[in-house]
Amino acid sequence: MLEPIINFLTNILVWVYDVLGHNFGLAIIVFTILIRLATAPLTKAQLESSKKMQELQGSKKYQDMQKKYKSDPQKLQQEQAKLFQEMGINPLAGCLPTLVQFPIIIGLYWSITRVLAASPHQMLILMKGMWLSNAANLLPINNHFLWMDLSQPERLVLDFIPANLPLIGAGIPVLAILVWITSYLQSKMMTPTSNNPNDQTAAMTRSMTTIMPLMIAYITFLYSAGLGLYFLAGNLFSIGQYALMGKLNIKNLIPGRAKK
Amino acid sequence: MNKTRKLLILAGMLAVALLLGGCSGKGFVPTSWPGVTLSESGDSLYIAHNLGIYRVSQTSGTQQLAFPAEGINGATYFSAPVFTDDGQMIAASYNNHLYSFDAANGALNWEFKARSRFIASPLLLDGVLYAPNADGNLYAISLAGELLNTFEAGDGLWATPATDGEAIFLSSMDSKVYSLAPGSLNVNWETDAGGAIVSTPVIDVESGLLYVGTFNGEVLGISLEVGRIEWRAETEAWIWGPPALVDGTLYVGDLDGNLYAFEATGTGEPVWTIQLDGQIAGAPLVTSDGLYIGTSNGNFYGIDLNGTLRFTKYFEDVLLLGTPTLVEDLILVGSDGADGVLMAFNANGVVQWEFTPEK
Repeated sequence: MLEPIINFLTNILVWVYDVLGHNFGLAIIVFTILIRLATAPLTKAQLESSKKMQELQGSKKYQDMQKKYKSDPQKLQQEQAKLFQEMGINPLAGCLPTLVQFPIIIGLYWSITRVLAASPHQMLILMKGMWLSNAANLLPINNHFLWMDLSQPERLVLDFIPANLPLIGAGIPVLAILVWITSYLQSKMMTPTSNNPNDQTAAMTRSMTTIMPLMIAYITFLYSAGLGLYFLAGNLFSIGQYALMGKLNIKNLIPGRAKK
Repeated sequence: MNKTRKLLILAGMLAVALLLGGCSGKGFVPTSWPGVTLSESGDSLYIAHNLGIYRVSQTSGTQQLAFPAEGINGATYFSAPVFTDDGQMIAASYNNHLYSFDAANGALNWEFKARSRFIASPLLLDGVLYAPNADGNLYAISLAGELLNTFEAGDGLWATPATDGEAIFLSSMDSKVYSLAPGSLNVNWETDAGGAIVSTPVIDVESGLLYVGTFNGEVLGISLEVGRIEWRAETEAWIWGPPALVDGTLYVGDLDGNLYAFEATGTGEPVWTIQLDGQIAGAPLVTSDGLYIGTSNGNFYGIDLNGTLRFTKYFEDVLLLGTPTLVEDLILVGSDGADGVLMAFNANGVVQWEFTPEK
């Protein structure tokens, strides 16, 4: 289902790599930013919808309604639908941009994996889908960026660091650590705080802001550095984008000083 | 948070993890096709595929033994194992290791770790293993697993080096072919072939040439002595597999499914071309009956020596990418599909047996 998207993005990515002087690390960063810029209007729409919904859920009318129909979920649903209609809120408006962005983000992820082509099968699939006329001169991609081999899990090996560290092996997983930090900062700073202590959505969001950064960092730890670079570039872009839109909740980072 | 919501979060995360992890619903995604080595006695085959190397009866295709004796975490094998005179089986692995197992019982003797994957088998020459690695290094390793020397190419090495006994000929993804002195690994000569090379050069001592195909869509005849390009012939698409050289004719396939015959000497004149369906990644098997080759679209072809198609056998959801090997009267082709990793055909393309590793 995603194949045409992956194939299209793969060719664009290789083209960007060519334009940037055969630097694949830089190509991943620039390509991620370009894709995020292209999907920025959707992110904006999603943010505005979430904000409206958050305001509604914090309103007295909404909370009173929750209490009043606590024992009658069907009636509660009907009343909520009425309220959404009255206030001109589409409850799906927050999800739709995500649904549109999701195939693009997954396609981007897969196109990076495909271009790295670390095995014969992957290389054959990559070659089959290339329609750039000079592709034969561009492949295989130069995987080296800074100290990293982008097709391998990243570890920074320094002379004074023991060769076989427990759990992580040879070297420090710098990229996985950076991905974890930026994912955590991103999710913390971009999460609106709920005033309602019984708000189940807020509780769910709190769990996500803890688990998701760990999961993404673990993927970076296990898989190729190219993917880690993509996660890092995406996180930094999102933080910057939200900052420019004035949506960052810096206070969320300070325990007990969440935005009221 | 109630139970349903917790389950929803978990389901969502699982969906993301599956999409990112590449679970497309088809289960195991192969990373290469199996490598096959014929045992010295000729009655068994060693098939390297994914988590193990399997000794299989050549006549029936039944599994006799699985290596290693104890599984090694993260190790996968796709290149043909190499056997030494002192009873070692050398296995290249995608987890950046080269392993030596006891060929009799599968016990691990030693391991050597590099920075990247060992895609191809090592070359064994005069008691030294020359192991190409995707990190661009050719490692010279003793039979005790000690690093003796290293040669660094400009890009990944995905092909087993070739030798005429005097020099080592190495093809690289940096587009070059190198001639190296065994032992010292000093460069005798290096030649830019104009495109990445992922197959072993074919050596013809009689004509004094070696032959390679490149990603640039060319077949080249290169002087063994000085590395001069004596002739180059264009193909329609990128070339992955090595050519097969028989009686002065080179047979080679490209990734658009074209199979070519060229004159191996002179100017590399084309003799004939035939269009097949699917990518060709192996060298065709050439016998007195004709040529045999498989493609990525699950087709197995028999072709007369004059380029006329003799038969096509189609297998659904199977990739027939390996170089066919002739063992007695059977043609063995590495496959990737639901049913087996090696198929044995007779000369008419009728399947005699299929091998699937025992769970």
